[in-house]
Amino acid sequence: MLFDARRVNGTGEQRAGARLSGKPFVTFGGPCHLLKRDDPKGYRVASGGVKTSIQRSVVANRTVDVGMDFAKLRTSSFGTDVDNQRKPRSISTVSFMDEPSHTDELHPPVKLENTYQMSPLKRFPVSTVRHILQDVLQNYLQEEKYEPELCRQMTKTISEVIKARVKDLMVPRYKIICLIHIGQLNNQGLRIGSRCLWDPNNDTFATQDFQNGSLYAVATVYGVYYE
Amino acid sequence: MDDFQTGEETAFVVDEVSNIIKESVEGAIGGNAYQHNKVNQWTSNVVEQCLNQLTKLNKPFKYIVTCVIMQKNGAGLHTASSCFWDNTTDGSCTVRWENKTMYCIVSVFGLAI
Repeated sequence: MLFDARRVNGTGEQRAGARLSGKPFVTFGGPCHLLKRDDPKGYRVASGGVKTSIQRSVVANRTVDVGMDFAKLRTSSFGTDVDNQRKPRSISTVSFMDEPSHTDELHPPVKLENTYQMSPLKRFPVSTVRHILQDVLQNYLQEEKYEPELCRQMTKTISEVIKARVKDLMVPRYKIICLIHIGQLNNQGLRIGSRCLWDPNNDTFATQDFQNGSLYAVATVYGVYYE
Repeated sequence: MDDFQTGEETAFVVDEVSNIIKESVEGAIGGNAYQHNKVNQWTSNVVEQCLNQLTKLNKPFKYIVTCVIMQKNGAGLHTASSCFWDNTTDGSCTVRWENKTMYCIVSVFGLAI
């Protein structure tokens, strides 16, 4: 509604302005006031054609005011015009509406304030993650037999699924690394080891293994705190 | 204040890391054949050596090093990883190494601090 009113207003001003070229158009308190104030002659000269447009803009003003629910302001702006006719000063609310104050072109890059947060608000929930791992491994691999092609796909799928599930926990400031191995059970020896250079207070991991008749899987999730 | 590190010095350089991994594996396992009672030691050594070399790079990274050693007997093994991190600074490197009797897969993840 406001926008409509503005548009109507705009045309009103344009028309009046065009007819009364040279007349200063300071505020939008309504072209009618300006006319009265400035030069009654001018008004008379232009009267024939201008009237309609003045009428229109006044109507438009009123709608804007009502739309903004600023009945008080309206009366006061009328009052000033009557009182000090020589000094056009007040900036009515409507004129504010008409001047788009900002152009959204040049914004400096967003600067974030310091948080002064030295440690995680929420630590990496190891046991929850372990449950996720167990759940996912069980769901995906319970009924599977080892087949190279299937397992090739399966490792990728499972690692993505686990990453997504852990991301959904929404632990802020933690980077997540999911690592999954799936292998065939064939009486072979296997050893998986890992070692990390990190902050043992905040960084942690969760691991879970799974085994069925023909394959085994080991999934590990590392949660690394990022300041 | 003018010793900010930039570019190469703070980036995760995969080639550099891959060389470190290969050297560590060669150093720890070399030409040995798979021995069940040695595997424990080997994995620790590989990971340890890798981490040692990585720390000597003096870069602002946290590192995660994992090592899998598997005996060769025809069994298959698949490994996959997925990460949620800052792609512009963090990186990973995986090296597959094998000799006649075993496979060794080493992955290194570097997370910028």
